[in-house]
Amino acid sequence: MSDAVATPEKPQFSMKEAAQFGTEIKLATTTDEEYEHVKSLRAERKDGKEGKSVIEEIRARRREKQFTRHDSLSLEAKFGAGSASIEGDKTTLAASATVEEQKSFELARKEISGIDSYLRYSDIFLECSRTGENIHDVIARRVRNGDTSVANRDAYLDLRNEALNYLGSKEEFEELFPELKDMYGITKQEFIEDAFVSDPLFRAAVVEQMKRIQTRADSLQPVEKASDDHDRIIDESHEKYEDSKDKLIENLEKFGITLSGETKEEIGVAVYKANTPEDLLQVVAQSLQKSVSPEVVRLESLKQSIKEEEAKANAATKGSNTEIAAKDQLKNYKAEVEKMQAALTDEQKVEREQYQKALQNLLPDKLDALTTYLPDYAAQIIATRQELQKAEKAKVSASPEADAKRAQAIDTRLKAESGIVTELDSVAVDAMMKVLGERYDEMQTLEEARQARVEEEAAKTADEQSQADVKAVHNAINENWIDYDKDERKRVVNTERINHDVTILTYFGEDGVRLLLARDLGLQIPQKEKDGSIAKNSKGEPITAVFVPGTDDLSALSPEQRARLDKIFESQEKTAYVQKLFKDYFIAGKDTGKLLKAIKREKGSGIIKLKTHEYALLEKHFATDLREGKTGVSEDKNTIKELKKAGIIKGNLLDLVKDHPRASFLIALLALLGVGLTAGIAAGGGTIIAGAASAAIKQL
Amino acid sequence: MDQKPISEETRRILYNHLADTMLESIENNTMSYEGGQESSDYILQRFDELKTYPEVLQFLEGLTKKWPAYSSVLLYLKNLEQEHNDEKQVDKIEAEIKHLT
Repeated sequence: MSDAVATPEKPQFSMKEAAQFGTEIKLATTTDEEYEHVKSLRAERKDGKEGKSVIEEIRARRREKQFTRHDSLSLEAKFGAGSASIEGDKTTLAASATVEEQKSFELARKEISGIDSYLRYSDIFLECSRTGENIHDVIARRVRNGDTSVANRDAYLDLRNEALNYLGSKEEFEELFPELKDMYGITKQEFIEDAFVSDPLFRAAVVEQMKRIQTRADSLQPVEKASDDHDRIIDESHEKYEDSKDKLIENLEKFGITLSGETKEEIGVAVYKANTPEDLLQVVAQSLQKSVSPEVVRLESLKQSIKEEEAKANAATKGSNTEIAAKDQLKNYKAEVEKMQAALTDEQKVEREQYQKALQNLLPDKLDALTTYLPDYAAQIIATRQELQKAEKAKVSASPEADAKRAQAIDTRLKAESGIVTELDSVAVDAMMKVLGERYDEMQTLEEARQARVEEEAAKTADEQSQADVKAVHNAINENWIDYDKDERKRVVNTERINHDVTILTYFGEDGVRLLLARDLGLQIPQKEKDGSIAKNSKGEPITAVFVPGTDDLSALSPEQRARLDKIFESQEKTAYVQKLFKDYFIAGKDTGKLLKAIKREKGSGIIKLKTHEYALLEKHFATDLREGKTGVSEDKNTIKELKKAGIIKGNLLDLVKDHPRASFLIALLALLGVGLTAGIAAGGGTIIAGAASAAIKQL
Repeated sequence: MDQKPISEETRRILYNHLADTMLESIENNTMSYEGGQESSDYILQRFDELKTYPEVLQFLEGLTKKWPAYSSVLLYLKNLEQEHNDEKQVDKIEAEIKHLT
């Protein structure tokens, strides 16, 4: 190395420059918590923590929250009883896989691939929501950061399409939300996107379940390779081997060598011992010797001996004993050849010609010509024979007991895989259930807190009767439809009451609320005799009973009772009451076994399913309560109305499904539970989820 | 650059540089936390397998392509490569790398 090279100005290593090189983009996706984590790691580095440990810690955080593409591939490779493997960016199945193994693998791959599409797509979607950026910017930054899995808009749209189609294809979703049955194409996709994809809790629930499934798949019992694999290999190899051998013999015949059946057999056996193409051809030559008469073989052998003796004689010193001996031997050989040639029959002469021709071509220096004439057969026959021998050897070492054990292990494994596939199939639906269940509990907690404040306020300002009425309505809200049994620590679903009350609201509209409230306020009305007169007891006092909605008429109430009822009806309790009934109706109509961890049902077995026109009636009667009422997520401020007013949620999501009254109603119900539309408020600390992402998609 | 294996000490120092670069980049907002997580995965999956300087350079080129924030680590090693293309100077390169710490 020259001095000129050795003494350049030393490059200044700057971590800051390193950090800033190549990009001027300011990223806003790192959370405060993550910044704190980085800060603490920086401090630990200063105290001597190893860089590798820091890198490992950063990666470990990622794995807790993510289910990566690699995780998906690893999971896929667990299926097919060990016959699947990862190759590059995909999984493949061994050619030797049985139909059952193939089926298990394909079923798992279909589910995992759909979930993987959702996770990758929602990751981008939610990043748009968090940062308020459009899809283009988010994708471009990801590409710059090295994530090229979604390289451009088209790739994103393809992924979105795959994900939404996957979710939309889940029949369980339609069972969960029958309204989806009325939707098709883009409408259905947008509904799913707004209701589910925009909800970070939904995504987190999916990841959590995939992690659990991954753990379960990791514990699948491995299946050892054994003799049934060998059997398959033997069969395949044997077929190939026989094919190669037949072609070799066929081509030898084309050579002009007519082989008897016996000779063919001998060649077949003989080639079994060869290790190289040259060996093989030697074996063929030896076998050919047996196929011709000994005289012919001897003649050709003498020809070779004559050549050797001539060479010896030429190499020896003239007049030496060696030269004399060689010439004597040469004379003898030539005499024998002459004698034998004279004695050859016509048949032997033909045979000799063929043999000469064959030997000429089988000589090692003619190997190239031969292999040209017999393309690849020699090498192929060696390779397949070796494969066959290896498989046969392996099979010999495997016991029948081991075979039986393995077959049983595969059977057990496939059954276990089947159980996991079932879990994969329900990941999306279970995630939705989990979100709904959590949101329901969250709503109920908020509702009870609201009630406590209302009652506290009423205690200061209202008369005793009003306070009692508010309390009665609160009790109804908390206990009427889905109650909580503190002793048994179970939620109790009163199916019959829910069905009854929803029907009342459907057909009586706003008056229906009055009817229900009259009952829940415990308003007593006089009972009438058949002739219309007021019924009285033996003491002559009027007989009264609690108001029965759907049977009793509001006109039966006294002016005082009517005033109490109107007071409640005009208060915010009416809205809270209606909303809670709808929430409970919605929740109770689902698989509450999954939704509410511990429940019992009483009075009735099934929740009423409203018909389309009934949904339309509800929509007509309670649109305001549903759309503009408090979501309960973070109380008064976070209403859909305000979100719309602020331009945060897209123009009018509800208009999206205006032709689908059931869907419209459903979206409103979901909103009441804080799912989808308002999920960002609950989870994102004021960051709106649906609006930005939807707007971003519009920009596409 | 020659095929001499990199020492474990050099590997440790390069790990430290990569970690410092990543942490500083996240703090400066030139790399997202998620980018840091993804690049960590990338580094940990490959770096221990590298045996020689050419392999390290090739790895850093790949890393930089994906996460430009790591470029200066690559640039620095490239500069050293130009300076010390004599086989005997590999020890000196290691010494200079260590000098950075």
